[in-house]
Amino acid sequence: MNLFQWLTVPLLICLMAWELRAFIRRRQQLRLARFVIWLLAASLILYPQLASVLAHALGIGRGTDLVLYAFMLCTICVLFHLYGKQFILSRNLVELARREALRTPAAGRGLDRKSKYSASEFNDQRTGGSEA
Amino acid sequence: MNIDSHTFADQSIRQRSLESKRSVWVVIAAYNEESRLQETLSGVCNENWNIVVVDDGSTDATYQNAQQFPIWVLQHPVNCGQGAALKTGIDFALQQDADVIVTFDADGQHSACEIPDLVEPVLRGDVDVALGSRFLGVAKDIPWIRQLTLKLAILFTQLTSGLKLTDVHNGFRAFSRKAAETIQIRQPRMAHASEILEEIARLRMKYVEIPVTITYRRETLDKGQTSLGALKITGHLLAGRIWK
Repeated sequence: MNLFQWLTVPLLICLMAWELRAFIRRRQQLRLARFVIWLLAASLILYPQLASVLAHALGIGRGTDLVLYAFMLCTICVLFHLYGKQFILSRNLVELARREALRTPAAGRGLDRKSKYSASEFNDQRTGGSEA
Repeated sequence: MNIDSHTFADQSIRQRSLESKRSVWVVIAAYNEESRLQETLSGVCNENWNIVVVDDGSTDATYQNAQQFPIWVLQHPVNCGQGAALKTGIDFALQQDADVIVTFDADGQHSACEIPDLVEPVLRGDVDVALGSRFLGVAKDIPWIRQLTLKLAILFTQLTSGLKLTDVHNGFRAFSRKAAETIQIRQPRMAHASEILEEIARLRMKYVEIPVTITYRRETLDKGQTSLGALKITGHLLAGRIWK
């Protein structure tokens, strides 16, 4: 084993142990997927010729190209996942803003004279009635 | 329809809505509309409807200007999008026992005097939703690229929802209480217009298209959606289906 392998493989084994532990405890599929990714990375670092064998089998050519393509695919998946997270977060923020707006309506000038729902009535409804 | 009968219909609808305790609510979503909102509200307020303006996190004096009128004003603390603002306004109107809810643009593109025509079939109970159509009515000074985009959007809507419409993405609509309660607007931004049509199709609601006038002005075109926005809307609709 060379220096790079000595540095990275133990780290990847720790990560694998961490993910496996989390998967056994919480049964999260994502943890298992991450475990497989770390396992694959450790295997490729320990046996570099494995990448070339796989690349040949898939008709890509060089092992480095296979790693590059796999990295690109992973990046796209991560971006998709992050966009989804951001989409849901944004939706939650909108819901929060909407609730805040509905909680604090303001009556425009002269509304009491015009509307059957006066500002004071509305505030009474919200607070559960005015004091006598 | 001649002018006399039009005027009579207007008066009769206004009278009926007043008799039914003014249960028609106009919801206006506004974002940075300080310069145009006053004119829009002057027109709508003259018609004596219940009005709620939702200031969608404007950075100008939209909120303050809206408060100068006898209307309800709600404010989003941050900009959420037109769909979210309309949903807030509709929810507020429903809380106030609205029977019919009209959505109306803040930028002065719509004509307040056409509200009675839009409201009439919903108040009569003939339909659940009345949709304004600029292509049955008048689209003043519409740029050709906008017209082309809208025509493509009409085709897209027909393919995806099965609704045969003459106009889409027209913000001038009227909903019955039942329709407003049932239609779920989940898209916070411009895709809400397509979503509403999809909901109408999904829920098999009765709808009618009413001719309306849309007036295009330089400043509203500058601020409004670009034709490329159609791609963005499609993306939002797709994302909304993936992350429900």
